[in-house]
Amino acid sequence: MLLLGSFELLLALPMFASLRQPGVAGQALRDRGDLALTALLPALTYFPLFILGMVALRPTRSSSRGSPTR
Amino acid sequence: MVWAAVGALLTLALGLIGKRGRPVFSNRWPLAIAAGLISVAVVYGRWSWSTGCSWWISASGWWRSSGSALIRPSWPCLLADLHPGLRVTARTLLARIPVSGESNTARYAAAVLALSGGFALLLGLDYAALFLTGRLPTAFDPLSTVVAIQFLPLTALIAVISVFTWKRTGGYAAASVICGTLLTWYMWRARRRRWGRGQVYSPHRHLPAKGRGPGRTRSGAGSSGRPRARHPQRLRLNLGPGLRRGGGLIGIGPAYSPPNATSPAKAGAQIEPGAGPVLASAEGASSPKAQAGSGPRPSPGKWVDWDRAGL
Repeated sequence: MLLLGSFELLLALPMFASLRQPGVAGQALRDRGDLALTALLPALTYFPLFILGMVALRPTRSSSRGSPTR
Repeated sequence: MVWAAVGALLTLALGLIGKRGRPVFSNRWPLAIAAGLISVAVVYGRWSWSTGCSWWISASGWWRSSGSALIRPSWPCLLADLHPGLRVTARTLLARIPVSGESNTARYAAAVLALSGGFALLLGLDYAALFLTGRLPTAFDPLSTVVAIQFLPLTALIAVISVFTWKRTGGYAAASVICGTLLTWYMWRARRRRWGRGQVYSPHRHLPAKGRGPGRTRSGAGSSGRPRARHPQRLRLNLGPGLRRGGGLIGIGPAYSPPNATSPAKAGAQIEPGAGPVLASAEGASSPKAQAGSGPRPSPGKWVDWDRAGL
């Protein structure tokens, strides 16, 4: 709330006046395939990529700074 | 981070394959970056104010908080990863999901559904299976399963911020700046909360050193020949009764006595009238081994470990 309110107030300032522009929707009809793909892709790739990150990225000296499990 | 980076690349690749009408965005990056950063700074200021005024009134507090942020290498990595990732997310979301002529509610609901719906489905199925069968289907990576729960509110927040800023600026620049900075802050805070600020765990500091006497775990444990704690778990176990004993000593709670310990009278301790709680709570009294050992005989006056009693 605070963030969005601050953003709206900033837009009301003359300094940010040129930023004010209404968003124009790019399409007249929503493609359900797009919606499903946008929703499912992050969830489907979540586990494989998290495991890949854990396996592929070895903790380095700098990244484990302050960690008791180094 | 890998998930965010590869997800963004996949989204870009899919966007190239299914190329349709080019969405119209008006991105004024310098202004959008300034407005986004000021908005996040307002939230950060409010948060700092509510969590502690020291941020405002003491220069050292500010220096320490920002200094620890600046030298921590993770946040530039997070920023470099999350900003482009969220830029792709916001762009794709705003190009594909809003349709002309729909109501405000429908617009926000569709954006939230598009970003959080997959996670809601994944977690719903996962936990439904857990409650029905007692087994977690994603038990091969239980940590990521728990971590996924916070993706629900976070992705919903990204969706709301994206639609809100797009409706007012007509672009995705402000959304990507705000969300990238917020998420960097969130993840960096989560890291710091887990490991503590500047609290580097060191066995040399937290555990008694060899040949340095009983160390911080003083009283009977160090001097009665009992093996000293060399492992955090054991140290924690050793400190537990000590804390409770402290409570008993100063009259906060009942004096601690382990369930299997012999009573002070059976162990042959001399009980003076009025000094009952002190002796009953002393380690020597609850452990006959320490009483018979070569350690110094405890005197009631020395047994109050004020440090540990929290005074």
